[in-house]
Amino acid sequence: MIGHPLEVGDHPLKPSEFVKLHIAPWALPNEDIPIHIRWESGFEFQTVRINIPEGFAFAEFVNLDEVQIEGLSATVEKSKISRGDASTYFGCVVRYTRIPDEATHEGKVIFSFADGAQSKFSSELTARIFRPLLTFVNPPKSIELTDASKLRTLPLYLKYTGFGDIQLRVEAVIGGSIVSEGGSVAHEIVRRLWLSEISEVDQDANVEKRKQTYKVQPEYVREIADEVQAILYKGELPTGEFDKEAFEEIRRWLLDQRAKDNFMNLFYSRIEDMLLSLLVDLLESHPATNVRLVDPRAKIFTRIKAPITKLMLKLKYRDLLGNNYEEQVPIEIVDRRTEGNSLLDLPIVIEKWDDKPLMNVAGIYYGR
Amino acid sequence: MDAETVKATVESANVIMGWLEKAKEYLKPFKPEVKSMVVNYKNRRSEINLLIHVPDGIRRKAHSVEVPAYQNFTVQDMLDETFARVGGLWRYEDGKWKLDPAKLPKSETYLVMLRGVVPPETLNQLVRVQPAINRDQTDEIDRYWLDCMLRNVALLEKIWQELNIEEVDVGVKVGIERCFSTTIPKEFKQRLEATRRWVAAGRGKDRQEILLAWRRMRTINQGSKVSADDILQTIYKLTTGDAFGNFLAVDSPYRVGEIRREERFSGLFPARMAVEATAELGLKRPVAEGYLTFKKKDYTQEIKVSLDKLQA
Repeated sequence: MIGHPLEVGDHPLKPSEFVKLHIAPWALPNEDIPIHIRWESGFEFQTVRINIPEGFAFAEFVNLDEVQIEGLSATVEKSKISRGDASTYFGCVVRYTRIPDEATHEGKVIFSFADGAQSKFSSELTARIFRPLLTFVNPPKSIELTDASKLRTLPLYLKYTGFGDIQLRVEAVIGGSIVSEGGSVAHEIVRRLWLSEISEVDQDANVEKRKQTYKVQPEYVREIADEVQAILYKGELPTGEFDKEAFEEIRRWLLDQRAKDNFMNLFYSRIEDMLLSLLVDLLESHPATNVRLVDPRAKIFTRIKAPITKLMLKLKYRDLLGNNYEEQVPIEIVDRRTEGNSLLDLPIVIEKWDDKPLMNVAGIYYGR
Repeated sequence: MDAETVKATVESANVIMGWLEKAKEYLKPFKPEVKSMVVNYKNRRSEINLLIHVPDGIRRKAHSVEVPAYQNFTVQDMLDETFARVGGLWRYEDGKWKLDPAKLPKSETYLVMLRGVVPPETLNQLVRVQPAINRDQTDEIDRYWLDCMLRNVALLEKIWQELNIEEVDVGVKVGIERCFSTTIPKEFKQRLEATRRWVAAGRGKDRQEILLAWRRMRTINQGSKVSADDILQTIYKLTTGDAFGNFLAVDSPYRVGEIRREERFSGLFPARMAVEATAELGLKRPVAEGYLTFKKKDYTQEIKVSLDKLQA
């Protein structure tokens, strides 16, 4: 850097002292990664060339009138930066556009400042990509159904090793069709209303008192009530636990409550219990630090048509940016039942979690 | 490979200056000079200071000056050379701002203060803001990176000798659900367990079990000193901005702004808190970077202490 205008006496400043580059320390796949490029005024150069690695793309430039992009390389002329020679800054935003197989991925973004053919300064920044990673641990290879078997759940053991919060849905597929289902909160409430009614144990509930003491978000209660009423209109009661006859009985009973204008009273009388159970759901919904289950009550519910059926169990998860990930494992269902029961009704229960998320990515991977 | 030239948009200044240009046009006889501009990112208010020159000759001769009201444009005040406030001489009439120069005190220059509201899309053209979508975590804290930058320094500088954009808000949604879900006290857990049993019974057809589970749940709920309502109220108190703000820290130049529960939430408590981290950008500081840190371990401890108090 001989003869540089920023030289001070016998102690010339190093370029790293008057060029300051900053990159956001972590990002999910496809997330914008902002980069600031700043320098002290007086630093003379004509162009900055930016090279990004395979898999990355330029998303945006800030404080530039014009930029030349050629594949993985961009050239910025100083005269095209806002304020031209007086400028001391521009911004560049890059993105990793693939989903890496591993939990971490790194790419070097290289900046080369040049004055004509003469290189003035170059530096590189590391773009760090992190993704969530969920895997099965020792998944069952087959499930055997016999007359005597007491198979009540499909137990799973999962391991979380990546980065970032996810929403997880467990899905079962047979021959291309999804055979797992989960009930919505509103469905669950309809069922609970009914079940507590048939158990005839709540005759002494003080409806008025409960109405007064409960201070949950009224909007939320109203929304749920609307949803429940919509279910009644459409006659979409939760299937599975109920046969056709019971199904109709429930619907008749609930519509009758509605006719008697008793519905909201009934609804409010149960709301505390229902919301308590939502809290139970919440606890069940966070089996691991970064994982939220979309439906903690997912189960496989289908009729088995052959003695041996191939089922594909899928972990479908989504990060906060909306990237989708999938992990799957085949499970063979061997049906040895002789009593003519072809129904498979199997709640999927995640019994064990190995929760090892990547921690402190800023501290470990950044600032070296 | 084809080279591609990307032209940055230059609309930003055009949009924001629309009403200013109009005002300047009408004030043309007075040689208006734009001195400074401050935009508040949060409430979108802008404040423009214009210097106008009114020599003696003009003051005597000129007819009434009229500036049509444009969008939200108002004349807020006017100062003369002695800093005396003479804004009262402007009047709003028939959709126009009017001034009678003859009534002006003897002063060569005046500072006219204009106020207006900047459309949201203009703000986006002025400033780029981005928080990390995902937190980084340690056992003690969750943190989010914050980033903001001015989009076009030159265009802004051409017009304003001084430009500041205040309270540039890099809003972060801080997840708190886990802090609650891991801190439910024992007494309450029993109630949850009873509820859980009832829920499980409800899935089956065993009416005897439903009955037993229901009774058990009712017994526990009736014998409980703590109502679900008490617990909810405690949670509400812990999710006010004041209470939650104690567990947040931001790097300079950012400051913590407003803190709210996320507007819509389902279930018993908010899953996330909406936190404003604000910075001031200007021609001298066109970018700002830093972290917002949520002290989740301390917050979880606070939840535990508050819920334990209910049972004492």
